[in-house]
Amino acid sequence: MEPAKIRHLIDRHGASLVLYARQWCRNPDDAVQEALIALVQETPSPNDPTAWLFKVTKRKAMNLARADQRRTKHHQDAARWTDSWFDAKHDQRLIADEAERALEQLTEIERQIVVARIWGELTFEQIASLVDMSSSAVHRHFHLALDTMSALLGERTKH
Amino acid sequence: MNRSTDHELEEVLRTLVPRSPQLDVDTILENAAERPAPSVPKTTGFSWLAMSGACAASAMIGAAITFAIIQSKVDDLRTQIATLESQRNDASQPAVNESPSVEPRREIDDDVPQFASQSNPYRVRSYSNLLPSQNLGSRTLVVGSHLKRIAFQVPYDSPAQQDLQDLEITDDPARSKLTPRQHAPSTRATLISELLDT
Repeated sequence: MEPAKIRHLIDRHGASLVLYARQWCRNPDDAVQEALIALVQETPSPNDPTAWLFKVTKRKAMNLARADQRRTKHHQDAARWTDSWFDAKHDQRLIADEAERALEQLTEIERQIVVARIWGELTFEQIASLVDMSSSAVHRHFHLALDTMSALLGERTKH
Repeated sequence: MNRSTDHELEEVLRTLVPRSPQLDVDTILENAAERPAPSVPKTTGFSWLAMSGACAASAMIGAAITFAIIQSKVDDLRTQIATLESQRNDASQPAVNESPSVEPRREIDDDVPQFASQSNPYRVRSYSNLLPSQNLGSRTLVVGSHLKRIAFQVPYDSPAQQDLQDLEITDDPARSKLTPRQHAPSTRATLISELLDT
């Protein structure tokens, strides 16, 4: 794959891929980089590089998480990510933190779907392939997740 | 929660920008060039299906070719057998006084009844044990159109009785002669054949 196309994919989807990988490992940049290296080596290039990248990033992130767990088994807390998920300015910091906590409350599958849909801008069909579900099931999970997040954000706002 | 609220939440969430990765395209390309490409290409389910189908098709084609070869061999053998049968039929219609030395020999199977066919009228058609006398083994068999009773002057329980398994019969209806195999010299039986025309 041409360098210009790789650069475009990083600019367009790099941040959402990192957010997606963050659900499994604490070094999401490494997972995304590994996925991009695999994409360069892939011949022929996949028809849908974006969906392909999400799928491979997930696999790489899970592999890294397993390696992390082996290395830091006695430091379970260290395996948790510490940096913020979002690049928010000061006035958005509160919303970003609340959204981050709300996302953490979702089930793994719901979180995958929300991240892939909102920040990855994948279609429901692409997400269905990513999580091995039907499009309608993905759609249903997505709206259930938004309901959950909305309720969580509402409660926090009240407090 | 209704869809409009969902939509509003979506809009709010979209305003949040995930942290950008610290990725360098040159580094990615260098790593990709340095690492060996996967030796086994990833295959999709469809590819596996196609490969399995190709293997199955190859096996079927191979089996079909093998079957065709075997069938052709069998056909050749059948043709040869038919030719031999035809030759034998021609040779098995001898004159009454024709020398038996030119006749082919047949073996008698003691245990399995034999059945004559038109192509081989001298083949043993039936062969059944009769109650033997105390010191004689006797059997009746049908050779061609002749019923023959054959008495073997051999004690029924003697070792020589076993040699009768190796008897051969000549295809001479006139003489209807039974002779022991040449390679069974231990057979001391004296053969008495009695022609019983039916």
